[in-house]
Amino acid sequence: MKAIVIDDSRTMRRIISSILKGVGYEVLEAGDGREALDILTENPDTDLCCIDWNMPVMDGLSFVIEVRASREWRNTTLMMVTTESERGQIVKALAAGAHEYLIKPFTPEAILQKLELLGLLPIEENA
Amino acid sequence: MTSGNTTLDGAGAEAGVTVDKEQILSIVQEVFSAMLDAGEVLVFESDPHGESDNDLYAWVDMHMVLPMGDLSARAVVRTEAATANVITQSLLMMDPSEEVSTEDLADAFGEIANVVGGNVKSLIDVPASLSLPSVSAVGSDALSGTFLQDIDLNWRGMPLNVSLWILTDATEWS
Amino acid sequence: MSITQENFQFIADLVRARSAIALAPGKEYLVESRLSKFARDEGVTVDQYVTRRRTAMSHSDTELIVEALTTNETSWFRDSQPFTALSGHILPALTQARGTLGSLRIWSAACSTGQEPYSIAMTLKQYFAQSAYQPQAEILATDLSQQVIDQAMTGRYSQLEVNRGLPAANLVQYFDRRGTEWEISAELRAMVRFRRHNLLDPAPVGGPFDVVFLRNVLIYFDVPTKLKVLRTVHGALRPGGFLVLGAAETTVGLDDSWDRVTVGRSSIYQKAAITA
Repeated sequence: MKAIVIDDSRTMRRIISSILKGVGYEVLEAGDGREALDILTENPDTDLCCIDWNMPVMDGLSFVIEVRASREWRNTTLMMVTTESERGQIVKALAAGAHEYLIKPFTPEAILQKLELLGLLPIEENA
Repeated sequence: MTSGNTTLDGAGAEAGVTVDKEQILSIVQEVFSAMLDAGEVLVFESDPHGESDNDLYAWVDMHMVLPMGDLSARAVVRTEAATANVITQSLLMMDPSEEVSTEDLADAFGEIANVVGGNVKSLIDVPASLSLPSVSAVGSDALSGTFLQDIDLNWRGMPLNVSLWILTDATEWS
Repeated sequence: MSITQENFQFIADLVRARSAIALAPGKEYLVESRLSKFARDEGVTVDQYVTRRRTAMSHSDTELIVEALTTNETSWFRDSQPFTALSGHILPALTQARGTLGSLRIWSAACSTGQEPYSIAMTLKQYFAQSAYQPQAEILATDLSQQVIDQAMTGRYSQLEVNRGLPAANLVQYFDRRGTEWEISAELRAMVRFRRHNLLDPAPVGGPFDVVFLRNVLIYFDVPTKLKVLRTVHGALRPGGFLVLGAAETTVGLDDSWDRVTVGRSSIYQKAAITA
């Protein structure tokens, strides 16, 4: 399974990538929404995007709107991962088409639990 | 619906803005517990401890649009350089023996300020933008404007301080 | 005494195999802190405790260790399957057996800080949203600890807590923000009553129940106690009512007064509709 981690912080990209790789994802990284769109264009089979909100060039919300406007990427799950935790912001992101929303700070378990909710956890079922 | 809204006090009082120590503590506990301590809470309020000779400062600014005018505030995280190194090595999954570059510090320690500041901004719950984080060893770079609130903390036995500042006076309201 | 790399890896592999949680090197202190209570019970260090387990590990040891290392705070819709089973199988089955459900009584018997009963409430709300009728639904939530009951009654959760397993759509629909915390809506609170209760005592007032959730608590009891608790629960259930256990928990081999219900990998049991 393939994911794109989109955040202007190298540290945060590192943290999220590491968690996703730990459960078997192939992970690509982008520092802003524009870069992420380029990567997504080259990787239309991307299963998941983890998206920060506040980024230069193109922010996370704008990225979500762009992706959801295109039929090309309708099978890509979009999850916001951000410090924006006002209720209004969450509503805005979900209304724009984000599938899930994870508030920073998060534990590794929390991000994996969100993936489980989304059916995107590539783990073998226990017998 | 604005129940639970928190406002910044003091200099921003006309704007009606306050953040209390408990709330800052809560935020810092969540950030450190989630990002560094695997869910354990290892941050506590401590006795006041002043600045040291080896402090590093990481901060973010928030530009708020309030009904009566614009306001800029700053959240600063201060700790000893050695502590900032521990934080950086942990977040970047470095070996304890690996050297921490200035770039690494700016990134990792800066990200801590980003998440703490971002949560303070969300607490205030007004439209606001967040700057990129900055890191410096020079206190006066960081500690600017009018003091609003701070709290002295202890993380795994190491001192930590988080402070909030109003950077500009509230513009004249009509 | 610190845990050896070998022992740490053994635990990490065990936990990884049973949950989605990966314990990377660096998390040794977490293993030490979470297993310390078991080690203390045996009068040994954590390292020695693990060494012993490597030679002889029982199923219940595995459950206890995995539980200790994978729960910090409880999560919402924990394990997800029981909740999909509630709306996918249990509620339809009850409706089919009884016609219209005038009332619905559910007991969350180890409710801790309330995530389980409130998750049940959300499931019910969503299930009956499409329905022509709304049954009178009551959820009784009990726990041995007054402290967690008091906490649960506040209906307030930290940001870290609401991140755990709760769909964002549910967060905005059923919670209000209160400073750094999130508070369950009045509508959902009204559906749940919290009470301190010891499972070794007779069943609490409020039954008979249609569904009992008894998850991840039997693992802490010895066999005679497990039987006693199961009997209490059996008595508190309406005929045809359902028991929901934790993942990998079972009544099989313990108590044959239950019918196993096959719903995916869930551990769901049914009390016979007509008692012999």
